[in-house]
Amino acid sequence: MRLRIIILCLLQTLAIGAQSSKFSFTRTSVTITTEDTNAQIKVYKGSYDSENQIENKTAILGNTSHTDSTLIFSPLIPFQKSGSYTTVINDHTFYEFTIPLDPNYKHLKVDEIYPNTATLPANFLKWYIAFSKPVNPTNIYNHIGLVDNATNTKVDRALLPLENALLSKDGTLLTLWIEPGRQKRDLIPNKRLGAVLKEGASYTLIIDKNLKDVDGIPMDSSFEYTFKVITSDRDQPNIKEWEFSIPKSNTKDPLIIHLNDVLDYGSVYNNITIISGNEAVLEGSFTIKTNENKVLFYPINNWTNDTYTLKCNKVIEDVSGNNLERLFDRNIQKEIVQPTLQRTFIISD
Amino acid sequence: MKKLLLTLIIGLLCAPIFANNSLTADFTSGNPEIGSINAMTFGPQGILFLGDSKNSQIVAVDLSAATKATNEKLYIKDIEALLGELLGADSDQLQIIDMVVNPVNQNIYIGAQHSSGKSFLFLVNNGTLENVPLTSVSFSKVDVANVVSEDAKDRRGRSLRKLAITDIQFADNQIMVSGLNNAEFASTFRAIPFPFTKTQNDSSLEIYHAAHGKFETHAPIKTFMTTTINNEPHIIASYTCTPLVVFPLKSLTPGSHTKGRTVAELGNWNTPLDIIEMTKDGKRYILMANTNRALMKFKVADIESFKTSLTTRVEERADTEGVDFINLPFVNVQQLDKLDDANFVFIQREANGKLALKTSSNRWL
Repeated sequence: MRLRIIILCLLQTLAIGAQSSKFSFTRTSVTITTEDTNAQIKVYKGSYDSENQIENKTAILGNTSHTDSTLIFSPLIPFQKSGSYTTVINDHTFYEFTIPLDPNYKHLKVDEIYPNTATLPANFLKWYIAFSKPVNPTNIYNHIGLVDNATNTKVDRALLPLENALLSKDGTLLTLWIEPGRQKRDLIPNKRLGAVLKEGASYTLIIDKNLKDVDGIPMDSSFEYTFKVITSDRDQPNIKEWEFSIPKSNTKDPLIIHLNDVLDYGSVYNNITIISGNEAVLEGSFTIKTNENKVLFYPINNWTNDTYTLKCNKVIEDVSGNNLERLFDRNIQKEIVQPTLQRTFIISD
Repeated sequence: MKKLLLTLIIGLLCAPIFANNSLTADFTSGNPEIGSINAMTFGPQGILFLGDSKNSQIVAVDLSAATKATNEKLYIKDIEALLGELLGADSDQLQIIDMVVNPVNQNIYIGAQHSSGKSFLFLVNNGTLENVPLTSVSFSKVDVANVVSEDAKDRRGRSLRKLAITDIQFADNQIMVSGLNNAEFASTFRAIPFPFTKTQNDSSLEIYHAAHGKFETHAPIKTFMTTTINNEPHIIASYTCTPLVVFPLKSLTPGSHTKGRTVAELGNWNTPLDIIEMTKDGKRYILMANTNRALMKFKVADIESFKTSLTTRVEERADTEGVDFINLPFVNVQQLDKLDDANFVFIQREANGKLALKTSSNRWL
């Protein structure tokens, strides 16, 4: 007997109900109603309806279980959204099925890029790209390119590809490095090819719409960010030049720190603390707005009349990798100057 | 005297027992809760170490009881397509992360990642890939979370910092871990004694490399191996920005600021992928796979005789400097490991675009 069932179901639920009395599927299982408890069930990726077509195919890995009247196959990973599959019973009964995609599916998009300034220094080092949902980390760098706007051509060897993508734990924030060998003075790639970014030139960072989310569904549209390149930044950030908008006592208004420089978004996180006069770390939360050259601190409790200290970790860096302690590529003939790592401010009525 | 003899006899009787079980004595059975497989290496006695960036841990799994695979001919012509069929996913949703050989029985293991973030361990057996479940195994593990701050979250509550483990190696009774940090461009390298204990006495190093004596920078290590150089145990590390650097194992002391000796620069846009040591006719060679260059062969003797760091610019050939090397006729090698004394196994992107698993011999050395 050869039975062919094509099911194109537009239901948006993951757990789709029984599609026939004999065969049903969800993203995580295939169920066959049969009294033959010795029946063999195999599931293949793709649509097939004859034995010849699956002759050289390998069945999907998974676990098979059965009750008196059902045979259940559970794949190692859920079936892919919009993916087509074929269930084969005893090598001769075929059931094709397609996992439906919710018509209201929210496609992956880029929420923000850090920095997003109109200009970047020629020795710029890295971006952080915030996605709306977890992104597919596999081969992610294949979907990201830098285009020279003067020639409208992709800049060769501009971005550093890594096997393990540098993604935050929740899979939504990607760190993207400009090829570091070309940004470091005196390394061969820098000497032979020069820095990736040429002063005065204009570029566009493009994330193509074929980039997919973890469910295998691509973005709706490509993301583009255009910037112009200015002279290299070879000055360390200096917290002595930061200015404070100081809140009043007995309020929970934020302390606003105005940065003198566009700082690296990631390096600021968890590297600033506020200490009260009795040397206790103040409880509260930071909002990092490096794209606006601002950091805000919201205390949990009201500010009191006191002298507070803002302490910074030396690893806070600018967008060219120069941190509070040292330049990205330090000239070793120059002595390291001890950096300023803390500032005080007074809260009053 | 009698007491001494008795002690010696008891000691001799006990020694073999302790010797056999010493490394796995603290292992427990169960699910090590592996979040992702990002790097793998084999230690002694069939112990597989897995670097798990997602759960910030190194997991040691006892695979000593695994059956030797049957591989009359080691060749899989399209390993990506095979993985896609086995996991029911498009090939662009899958990625091979690492491949290692158990030196005890030459079993080849492949770590692969699916876009969902799930990782899988496969054994190459009989021309196909067999899933090796990691939910019920004999294991021991150690946390490496304190490499980066755990509580760094942005305003949407998303944890920002993450250690991305780039390579792990076992030598000198310790597991060494190199990693990238997604927030700072710095070197993260630590050595953790094995068997793991609750009180870690590990080393976290700052490793620098110098470019021609003029500039020095932090830089993340991409891949590394351990070997002896001039009879001293050393690490040979390759960085994301091309330098090949050596430093002695004895420099792995807690809190040290170690400056590696740069012995070569390996060319433009050349991210190193895997590095192994092979021997032929008593001579030792280093083989290194790269993203954008052919498989490179170095003589260990050349590294030993290259006594200084790269301090002045030496024009040896276009784009490279330092210790001499030969490009072998293997391009686009993505994974590489030593199979046995005479052979190595590798995964190569072929001219037809397909990813193939194959072997070659030390006749190229």
